[in-house]
Order: sequence, then C-alpha cells, then structure tokens
Amino acid sequence: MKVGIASGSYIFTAGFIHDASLEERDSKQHRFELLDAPLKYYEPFPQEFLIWFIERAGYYHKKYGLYGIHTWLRPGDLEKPDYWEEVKRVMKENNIVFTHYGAPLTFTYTSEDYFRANYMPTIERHMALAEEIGCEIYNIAGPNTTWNRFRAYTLSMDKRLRLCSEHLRLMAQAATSYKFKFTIENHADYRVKEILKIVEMSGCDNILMNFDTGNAAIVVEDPVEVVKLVAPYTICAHIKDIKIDAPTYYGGRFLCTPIGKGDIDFRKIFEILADKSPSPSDLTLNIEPHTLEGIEDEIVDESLRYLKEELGDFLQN
Amino acid sequence: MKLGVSYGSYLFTSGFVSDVGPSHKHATLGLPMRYYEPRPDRPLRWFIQKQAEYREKYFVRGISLSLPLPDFQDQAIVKETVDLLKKNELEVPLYKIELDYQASPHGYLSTEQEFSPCMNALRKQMEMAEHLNSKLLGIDLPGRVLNRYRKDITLEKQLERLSENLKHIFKLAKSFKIDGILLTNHAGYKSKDILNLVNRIRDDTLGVNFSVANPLLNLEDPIDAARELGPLIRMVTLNDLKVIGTTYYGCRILGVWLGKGSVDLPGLLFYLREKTAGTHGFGLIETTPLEGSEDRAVVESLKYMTENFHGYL
Repeated sequence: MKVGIASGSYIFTAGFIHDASLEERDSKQHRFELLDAPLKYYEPFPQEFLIWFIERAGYYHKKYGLYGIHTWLRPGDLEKPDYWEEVKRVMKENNIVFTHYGAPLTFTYTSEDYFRANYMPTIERHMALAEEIGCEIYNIAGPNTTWNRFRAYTLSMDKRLRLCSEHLRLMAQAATSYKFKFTIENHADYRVKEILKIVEMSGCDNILMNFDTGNAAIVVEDPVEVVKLVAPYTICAHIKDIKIDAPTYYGGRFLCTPIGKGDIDFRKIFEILADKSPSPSDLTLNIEPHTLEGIEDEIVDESLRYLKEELGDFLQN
Repeated sequence: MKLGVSYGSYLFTSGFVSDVGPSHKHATLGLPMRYYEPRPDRPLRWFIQKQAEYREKYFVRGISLSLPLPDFQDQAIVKETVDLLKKNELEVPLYKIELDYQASPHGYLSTEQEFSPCMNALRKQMEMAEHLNSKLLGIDLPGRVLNRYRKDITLEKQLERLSENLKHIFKLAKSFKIDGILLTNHAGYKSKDILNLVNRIRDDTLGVNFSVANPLLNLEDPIDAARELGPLIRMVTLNDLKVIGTTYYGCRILGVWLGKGSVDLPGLLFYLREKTAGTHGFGLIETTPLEGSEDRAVVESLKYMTENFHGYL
C-alpha cells in the first residue's frame, strides 16, 4: 500500500470551503457545514492552490516518501490547456503521481436522458483531461449535502438508487475508452451496501471502489465491518479518522480528527485491505483529515507521521 | 405492545439535567438548550398526572421511573407516588436503578471493595421497585464512563469490572420479587459488547431494554442491532435520533420526536414483533429534544405511535 494526500485535506486553504467575505463565512450555510463550531485557521490562501498543493506533496515525498495526490478540479480548469502543462511539469519536478482525478460532476436525481444530454458532454471532457495528465484513477463521489440517505425526499430510496445507477452506467461506459480505472466513493452520502447496490444495478463490471474510512462512520456504519464488503473491489482509499463523541442524553456527534487521534481502527482496516483487495501493493491510501481547528498543513504532517510510525508495516513508501 | 412513557423524557423538567456547569455544556453538545416551560414544584407528581391525562387520550398504560435518592427515602413521596399510580391505573413496568456515586465514585468500574458501599442504596431502590410492583429493574450504563472508545482503559478491562459488579446486583435482586434485570443499550457499547457482557454474567434473569435509536450512536444500524440482541430483548424504549449535517467535518445526531428522525421505526417494530419478545410488553417513549417543550415532544410522539401503529397497541 502506498500513502498519498487528498486535496480535501486542504479544503479551507484551497478556498473550497470559504473564499468569501467574512460576513458570508458567518452565514447560515457556513455554520451548517461547520456543525456550528468555529473554524480556526490561520494561514493565508495560496495564490494558486493546485501548484501549491503539488509542491507541498513534493515536500512530503522527501520527508515521508509520499506517493501521489488526489485532487478535484474546478469547472473552469477545463478551459486552461497551458495550465495543465504547468501542472504536469510541477508534478514531475516533485516526483508526485496524480493518482486520482476527483470528478466535479457526478449524480443528480434527474432522468437518464436528461443526464446524458446535459451532463455527459462535460463529464467526457473531464475524462479526457484526466487521461491527458496521466491520472491513474477517475473517482466519482456524490454531492453529499444534497444527495444523502438521511434527507427526506419524495422519491423512495429504491427510486433514488435506480436513478443513480443509470447515471453511473453512463459514466462507467464512457470510462471504458480510457486507460484510467474508474471508482466510486462512499462519500458520506449513502451506506456501503447502498453504493454496492447502485453498482450492481448499473450492470457495469469496470466499477471499482475508493473506500473512505471516515465517511462510513458519518453515515453511521462501522468502517471495520463494511470494509469487509468492499475490500474485493477497493483499489484506493481515503484515510480519515473520526472521534465518536456520542454518549450524551441528547445524541452525539462524529467529528474528524488528525489521523490517529480518533476512534477508527486503522490496523484492522489495513489488515482486511491487505488480505482482500485486488492488488494490495498498488492500493493508494490518500489521507484526508478534515479537522475543524488548527492549521491544515500541520494536521497533514501529523497524520502522515502517524501512519509512518504506527502503521508503517503496511506501507511501501 | 402497551405504550408507556419514560421519566427520562423529562430530563430538564424533572431537574435531572441542570442548566449550568461544564457537564451541561457537554451533555447538550455545546448547543444552547431552549425550553419554555417553568419547572413544576413537584416534578414526579406532575409527571404522573400528565401521563394519567395521556392515558385517556393516547392509551398510555405505564411509566418507567428512576428516582433520585432523597425522593424514595421520603415516605410521604413514596406513598403519594404509589397512590397516584393506583388511582390512575398506571403500571411501572420498569424501575431504573442508579448507583450511588457518592458512596462509590468509580461506579461500575470499582473494585469489589470499592463497590460494596453502593449496595445499600441499591437495596433501597429494589424495595422501592417492590412498592411500585415493578417486576423488572433497568440499568442504564453511563455511556460517558462505560465506553468502548476510551483510550485509558481497555474494553476488556471495563467489561471485566462491570460484569463482576453487576453480578453483585443480580445476587441482591434474588431477595426481591424481581423477574428480571434489563440492561439498556445506552450508547458507549455496541451490541456485541452487550452480548459479551451477558456471556460473562450468565444469569437467566438478565435481558435487554432495547433503545431503538441508540445503536446509531455506536455506528450500528438499529435493525442489525435488534437482530443481534433479539432473544434478549424484553422491553423496548422508543426514541428517535436524526442524523444531520453530513458535512466535511462530520455529523451530528440529535434527539427528535418519534417519526422525525433517521430510525426506520415501521421496519424496526415489525422486526421486533416478529422476531423477539420485545414488543409483547411495554414500549416506553423516551424523547430527548434539545429545543422546545419536552412535554410537547412526548405528546407528538404518542400521536405518532397511536396514528401509525394502532394495530400494535
């Protein structure tokens, strides 16, 4: 198994959470995203996040032997061919592999025809770009705040899963024209069994899994139990730790922490992946610690150090 | 199933949860608690009278109780409670016993010697249960202390100490007219941990008071948990929790009225009725909303049960 970083580790630094004004940062939506807790970051935003991120990954390559990165792309990025040449150059310079391409468009609750006509052309352009910049994996992850098993919908669960399987089929079929592998992630939206059902209903055999350890907990399932179900399809994973802060009269909360500071049993998970995944030596483990407080880059460093020191016996890098 | 209401639905009204101090902030997950009713002067009497009212409207047939030590040492309160229950034809199917933490600060994690001072208060509570004609005792394990995620004491060590201390309670209960002692899956431990505990104690009177929503707090699906604990379930606590805010940083799971949360209550009650003895007795409503009126939460939950599960009741 090889360790990498998901750019989700830097959602604030990247401006993904809030590149807005201070007033907007205190908005209802912002407060919702942050579980009503204050966010305490102190770094300035880098001018160009992706280049900055690759250079940080290069630093961690030297420090911990980091293998690669998983990053998402913004819609406007497609229009900048020169930029991608620059990205490739910086990747090479820093000895970093682009392991995953995080697809910006995934599922909606629209009909198959609507999805084909309105979403697939852009998705295919993203796939072409992913191929061009040498991504090993094209990963799709549902838009979890709207596409979520716990929200009340007028559509039944079966109907929702059926619609998603139709979209997934279109994307998986398009992916067969490229060299990258195609994965779906449990993105704190549906439970693993439900994701596996979507995959089964799609009828495609080229769909593999990007298993996220923390997202399983966020939809209230035990990652150690569900990794047993997905390990045979898992070619990459997001490593996220969660503190189970539950036993109060009024409920509880599950909060992300630096890797090693939460309650997820990574040793057991890695044992299962090493035993059951299709190719354990090629499996990439991209850390993605989403912590509410502190400096994101320091949390990445702490998390990588933990993996190296405590779970180094599973790692090749 | 007969409907009952747990005194635990009135944590704030009864004065059990205070509105001050750091433990309050923790208990409420750092959120403000917003209740609007004044606290009654005599919460227990008020509670029983309320449930007597709901007996007529919503078929409430019983209550579960857990009384603070001073209350059941006051004979006037005991007599009034017994009389009120009798007059209003309300049963107490489950009497929840509490440890006297002043006598034994380490509670269920005490050594045998440390635990023995608790026995006096436990004996008095069992006498109280007899007074109230309760055939079942309930134990809500304190999830903050008895918690599989603690890093400073292993799960194995916790279960070892806990089972030894529970054995003393089971032994004491043999001297009373008690049919069983039910452990609540009260967060902190997963179903498999409770099974582990049951195997250590090995007592025929041991059962489970299955709280339908609590498995969510332990990364378990309630129906899977019911399947695991099935044969042991002898009573059901009806609560609901809503999983909210699937965000980048985690999620929050909060107490809501029955039917408003993330528990598949129809599926779960169907399973419990078909596969366990759990719904043959009482279903005790226990709502824990952070906002609004605690009594309204009970009423809305009673309405939900009577409107949607009439055939069960």
